[in-house]
Amino acid sequence: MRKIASIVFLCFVLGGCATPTKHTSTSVVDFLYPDVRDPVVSPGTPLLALPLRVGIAFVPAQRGAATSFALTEKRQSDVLNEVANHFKKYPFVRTIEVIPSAYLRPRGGFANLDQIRTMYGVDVIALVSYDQTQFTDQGLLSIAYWTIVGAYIVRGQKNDTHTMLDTVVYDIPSRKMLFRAPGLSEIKGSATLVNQSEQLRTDSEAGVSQATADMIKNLDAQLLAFREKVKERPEEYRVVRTEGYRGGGMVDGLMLALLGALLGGAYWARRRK
Amino acid sequence: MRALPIPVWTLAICAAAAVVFGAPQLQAALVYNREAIAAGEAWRLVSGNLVHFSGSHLIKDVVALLAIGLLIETGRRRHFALLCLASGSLIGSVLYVAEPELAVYGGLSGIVTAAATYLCLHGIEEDGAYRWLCLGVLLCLAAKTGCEIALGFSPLPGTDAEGFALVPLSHAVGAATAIALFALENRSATRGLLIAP
Repeated sequence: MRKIASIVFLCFVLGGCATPTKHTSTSVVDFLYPDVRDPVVSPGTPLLALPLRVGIAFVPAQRGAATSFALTEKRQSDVLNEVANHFKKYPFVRTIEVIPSAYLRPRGGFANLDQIRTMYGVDVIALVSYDQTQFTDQGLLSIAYWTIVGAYIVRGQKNDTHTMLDTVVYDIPSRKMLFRAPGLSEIKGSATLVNQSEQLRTDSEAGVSQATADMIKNLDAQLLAFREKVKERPEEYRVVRTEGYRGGGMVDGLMLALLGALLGGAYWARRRK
Repeated sequence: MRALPIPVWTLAICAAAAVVFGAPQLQAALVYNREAIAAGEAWRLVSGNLVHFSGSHLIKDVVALLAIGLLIETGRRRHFALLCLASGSLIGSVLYVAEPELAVYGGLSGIVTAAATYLCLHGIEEDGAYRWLCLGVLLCLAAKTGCEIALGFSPLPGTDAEGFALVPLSHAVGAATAIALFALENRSATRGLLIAP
């Protein structure tokens, strides 16, 4: 009887505490093309007025769908600001407006984007979606959970967190996708049984951070490729320049410091002569 | 003791930049404007370097040019005016060809970069610690310009808050002009030594 009780207890500990695979995602296709009975939207020829006014937003999750541990509203805003800060330095970008999720409806489609265009005065929108899957397995060390204390101190849980952030850039008036760039991350970690959920949250956040950095890098490359494409195929993308598109040569702090060092060095050298 | 020469060109360029900044009509007539250049106003390729878009833009550029021009002209380098003219016109021309999206451009920093590169290249030929200082500054300038070109903007803070975007190509063209002028000077000097009996 005692043996059976032990086996039941073991099954309870090892089976009951195992965390199932957690998958959270949002989809640009679900957001932009919510009704499959709708006719396919035929994109027109985009007219890009430089410098561009760009909006950036996370694609809203479906109603009732599980959301990522890491991508709270605050974290979403941080990710969007990070991307926006990186791109607003380009001369062909006039403004980047970070649009809160509350302004986008699940399955809102292009009608929702038209509303955003009116509200924020943006012509181009970058839609960020995510896909995160967390796997949890129990390693050999989990045998130590038998001792109860082991559940607190032995890292017997093995976690894998796969994250993908994906940015798709659309010209709203023409409904044309301009370019896209993904950001990927894979994090392997371990945890004790007791702090498993905390560790999963930490891994989830780290996954989002790494995927964001990777996505920014890829966005840079895709943006460069898109600029070349625009130059090569003027019949597909019309570009007009507005008055505000200006660039400048400005001395920065590093340059001033270097010149200060040169001035000091030259003064010192001349005095020695 | 010989009196230091007056940095005429430096003072003239800085004064011109200040005058242009204070006169909106002059700004409109001199700024690099792609459409106007295409319509035949070719002087804007050079004069655009004298136009600044904000007070801090002007001050940073003028202070930098004052410092570097003072060193070059009081160091009795002969070709400072040529360097300014060549780098100024090359910056405008290269931007016109390579940056078709850029409608308006202004700022002296390309010329400042040219002057700093030119000074450092000559500094490397001198003796003592100053030589190493010039080499260090030159390497920093190369890394900074390379970074700007690779990224498409300046990674340093404070360069994006002026209502215009930094154009890294202007710095690269300035540096290239200085290297070319330095090479030409050295070539002439070497030839002079070879010809001399």
